[in-house]
Order: sequence, then structure tokens, then C-alpha cells
Amino acid sequence: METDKIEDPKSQFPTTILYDPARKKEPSSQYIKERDKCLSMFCNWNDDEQVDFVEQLLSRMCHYQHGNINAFLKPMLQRDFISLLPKKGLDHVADNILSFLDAESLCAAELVSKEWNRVISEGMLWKKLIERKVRSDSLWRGLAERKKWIKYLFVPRQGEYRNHSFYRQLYPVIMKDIETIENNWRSGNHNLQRINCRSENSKGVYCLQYDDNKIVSGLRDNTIKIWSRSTLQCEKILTGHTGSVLCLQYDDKVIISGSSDSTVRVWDVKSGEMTNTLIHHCEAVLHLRFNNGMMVTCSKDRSIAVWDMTSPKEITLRRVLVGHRAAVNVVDFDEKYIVSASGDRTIKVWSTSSCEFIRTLNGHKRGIACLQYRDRLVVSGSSDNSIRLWDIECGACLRVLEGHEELVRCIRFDSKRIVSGAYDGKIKVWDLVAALDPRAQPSSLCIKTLNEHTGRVFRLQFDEFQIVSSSHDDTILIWDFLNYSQENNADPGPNRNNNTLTMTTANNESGRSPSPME
Amino acid sequence: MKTIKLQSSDGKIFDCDLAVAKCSGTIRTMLEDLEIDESSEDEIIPLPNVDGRILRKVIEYCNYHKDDPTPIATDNDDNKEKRTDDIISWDAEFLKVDQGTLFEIILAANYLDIANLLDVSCKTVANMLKNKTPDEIRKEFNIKNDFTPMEEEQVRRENTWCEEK
Repeated sequence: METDKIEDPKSQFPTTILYDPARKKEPSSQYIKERDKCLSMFCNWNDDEQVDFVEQLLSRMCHYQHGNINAFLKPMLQRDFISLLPKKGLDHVADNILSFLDAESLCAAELVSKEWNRVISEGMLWKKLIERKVRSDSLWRGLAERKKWIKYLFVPRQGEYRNHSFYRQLYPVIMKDIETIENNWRSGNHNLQRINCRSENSKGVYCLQYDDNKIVSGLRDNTIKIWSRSTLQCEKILTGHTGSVLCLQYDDKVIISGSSDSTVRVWDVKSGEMTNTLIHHCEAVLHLRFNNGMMVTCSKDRSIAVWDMTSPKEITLRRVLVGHRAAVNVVDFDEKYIVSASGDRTIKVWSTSSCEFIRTLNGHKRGIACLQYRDRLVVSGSSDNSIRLWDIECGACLRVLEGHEELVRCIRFDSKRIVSGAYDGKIKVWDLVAALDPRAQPSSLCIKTLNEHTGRVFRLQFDEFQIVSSSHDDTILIWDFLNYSQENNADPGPNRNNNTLTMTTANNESGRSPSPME
Repeated sequence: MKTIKLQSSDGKIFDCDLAVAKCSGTIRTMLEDLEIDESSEDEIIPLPNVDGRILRKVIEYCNYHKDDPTPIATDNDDNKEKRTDDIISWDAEFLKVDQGTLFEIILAANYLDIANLLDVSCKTVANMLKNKTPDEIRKEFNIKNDFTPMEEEQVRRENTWCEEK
């Protein structure tokens, strides 16, 4: 291997060899003669003999001398990996090492030496770091799309290519945006959009689901209304149910809705045409979930129905789950468990594959109105005004959240937050991470109470950037925590406008502050 | 079990199980090109880029990992946050060597195309520089700061956002 150069201490480690000043004294000619004789013999020995000899020498020396030798030896064993690998044509290996670093360590690495700075720049390591974050974190992903810098990532289209310093300047802009969003959630700063449904007879929006383009809502007036996100106008009205639309879910093909007319109906999501009606439950269908060829519905008739969905037109009943002693208000499921909650104050857990009953979660003091289940966690809201967090595997109640003053009607959680809506019109945002920490003080768990609805909150959904909620007050509210404008707000710190401005700076190819190496 | 002979740059010969040698993509390709298989007799595979002391280490690694499932490179790997705290203890112990040796192992793993070894060695180096100040990194690897004070100040200023935290 071509290691000669590297192992040559003279060229490689000139600065850190610590000489004992005593050794700098002019050596005697007698010594030089004897030393050279030893060295010539030494050079003729093989590896093992040489090591043995040096060991013999070392064992005859004192601690102070060992210290000197150690200082001499140490730098000979060190390697500047990041500079040396590219010299061997292995830039990609140096990149690979640096790609394990987070932003803080990458900043430090840039300051190590010119060569490190060059490797980081030419390896486009800030771009790679941003791309990794976007791939692995939904907040980054969402921000990339909403702030439109996703077009510079991965393999940008022609013309969208940017140089290293662009990405390096983009990173802190992203961090600042994330900080702003977190702060907006924490302080309840939001931009509110309001959709007034103007229902004619019976007013109220029982259920909804949204994506970037539309909001699909189920109304008390028996219709399903689809709203455009950009114009907030109603684009489509689906009619067919003969009772209020209590629950719905859609994917890229179908909308499935449940109603107080006891039916479940399937609609084509694009055309809005009704394609199927399932008549099974004998009272109102209160909730439904579908995923991956399977659907679960629940009803005021106290039963739960499990369906196989071969296609929108071929939906067949697989099993009916009975056991609840009152209306089943909500169901959720994954490939392991079906979870249901009822007015009978209990949550029941069933096996998804066998549909067998597994356990009951007891604790709520009144009926349960809402619940979500994901991974091991179940979060439920009740008529006892409390929210409970449960470990589905052992059935233990992990935490009780108190603060709502009326029935908790709707609840959702993600990896950071729980958002709940109650019959008094209030929406509360809770810190999920803290709620799962047994040491956290109960008073610290509710981050914010949002009070805009003038009637019962029936349904909500949220993501990293927004909450969309619907209410008995006949409105749908969009609480936008990303595009909160601070113009009219106090606290005009020096960097307040940076978020919008810096993007322009970063866009500037040449950049005002080129790297010193350029 | 079938063994083959590997010859290091300094002429040392190592007997090695075929299955172990096949951890190396480079050797696998060589075997195919030379049409060596179970029935071939005493072929010697020359590895002119790997010194005997390092080759011994690499064979030790491959021997321990020969039954590992072959990692399937997928786009999925990119979706995970890159972690460095998942090095198994045997590997960590194996890589407790001086930087010179670690450097040679990286070169050998790259040349021999042993993805697992290259990956875990890179992680080990990354761990040596993670969460350190520039000065601590320079000390760790014996690097001279060749920035002029002005250049250093420039980079530092651009990174102030990072230090505010």
C-alpha cells in the first residue's frame, strides 16, 4: 500500500513533536558514533526483532522518558482522515464520514482547516444534510414543499441547481422557520381562515378530513361538501344520505361516509358519484375507519362491523364485534388491534386478524366520545371532561389530562402534540412528549387553549402547520401556524423580518459572503 | 469447507474460508473472473493493495460477520436519520485501534468492497469528531489550523446562527 508518505513523520507531523529541550543540546561525537552503529544493526533486523528491541529499551527507561516518547509517538499514530482520503481519490469516503454529522458538528468541521472546509463544500454536505432531514422528518418535508425550496433538493431540474453556499445559508433559514412555527404553536399565534357553511335548515359540521387541496366535510344537513383550500369555496355537494353525515374518510379513490340514516355510503372522490350503499347497522353509524382493504364501522346499535373491501363496489361483512353495552362512538385500527370506545365508559381492544376480544381499558368515569390509536398509544376523550393516555399492550392508563370544562368530543395526536376539541367550543393543544413523562407537572401539559368556535367542536384534524376544525356553529376553521404574520404584533426583534428576507439572500447565487476559499 | 489463499502486498499468504473471502465484493468478482469455484485447486488471490497486518484484521472481521444477512441497499436507507450510536460492541472493540490502523482498514474496506466494514469504520471516525469544537477536532487528528485569522473569522461569522443555541 502507498503508505510510505503518511508514515513519514517528517513530512506529516512537523509541528506537534514535543522535543525535550535537553535533547536539543549538541550530542557528543562518541554518542553519535555509537548511535549510528546501533541503528545500522537495528535496520537489519526484522519487524518482530525491532519491536522486541524497542520494548527492551523502553523497559530500561524512566517514567519521565516514557512521557517524552509518548508525546513523540502520539502524532505519528494520528491521521487527518478528512484531508487524506480525498488525496487517495476517496472523496466519497470522506463525504460518508461527514454525512454522519449534525448541523452543529458540521459547523465545527468547517472551521477545522481549509481542506476540511473544501471537502464539505465540494461534497455538498449541507445539501445532503437538508435532504436527509426532508426524507426522515415530516415537518421538514412539509416546510420544503410549503416554502418551495424542495425544488433545489435531490436532483433539481435544470436551472434550479444551486451551489454549496446556497444550501449552507438555507439551513439556518429553515431552522429559523421551524423555531417560528414551534413558537407559534406555543403562543397560539395563528392566521385564522373561516369557512361558513351557510347550511339552510340544520346547521353544523360533524366531520371532516383535509389535504393540501381540499377539505371534505360531512354536515348535519345530510350533505357532504367539498371545499377548495385555495378559494375556500364549496366545489361539490354530494347528496344521498337521508340523515346527518356523522363520519367520513377518504383516500385517492373513494369517500366513505356514515350517517344517522344507519347506512354507510361510498362515493367516487373525483366525480362525487355515489357508487355503493351498505345497509347493515340498525341505528346511526357513528364512526368508521378504512385502510388497506379493510374497514371498521361502529354504531349507536352497540355493535362494530369489520368489512373486507375488495373494491369500492365489493365490500363484504367479515365479522360483527359485540360486547359494548352502549353506543360505540369511535373505532380505530391497525394491523394488530381494533380499538373501540363507547358510551359504556370503556375502551375495548380486539385482535385485527382474529377479531377476538382482547381486553377492556377502564378508567373514564363517563362515556367516551373520541379516540385515536397509533403504535402503542391510545388517547381518548370523554364526557367526564378528561383525556386519558393508555398503553394498549398492557392496558395501563399513563396519564389523565384535565382542563376541558365540557365533554371532549374530538381528539388527534402526532409525535409531538395532542389536540382536543370540546363541547364548550374550545380547542386545547397539549404537549404529548411531556404528557408521557411521568415526572412532568400536570399544569405544564396544556400548551394553549384556542377559543374561536361559538358552538360544540365536533371534529378536528391537524399536522405540523395547522389545525382544521368543524363545529356545531356551522363553520370550518383553519388555524394556520405557519403563515402567521407578525406585522401587527408587538415584539419586533431585530431579526423579525429575516424569515422572508433571508430566502432572497440565499437565492442570490453569488452570495454576499463567499467562502474564503473561493 | 473450501479455503482459498489470499496474498497481501508484502507477500504473506493467508488461508481463508471461501465464504469468508466472499464478504469482499472485490474478491467475489475476482473469483468469477478467474473462474475459481469449490473445485479449483490452491489458487492464490493477490491483493496488492492490502498490507498483511491489515489483511489479517480484515479477515478477522469477515470471519465474525460471515453469517450476517447481506445488506440490501435500498432507498429506504436514506430515509433513516444517519445514526452512529448503533455500532455493535464486537465491532467497537475490533475498531479500538490507533488512527493509522483505522485509516488503513478504511482503505482496505473500500478497496475490497466490504460495505459493512467501511460503514462502521466511517461511523467510528464520525464519532471521534462529533460534538467537538474545531480546536478539539484538530487535537484529535493532529491538524494544523491553516486559516488566517480573517478567514477563520469569516467562516465563524457565517456560522454564528449555530453557536447562538
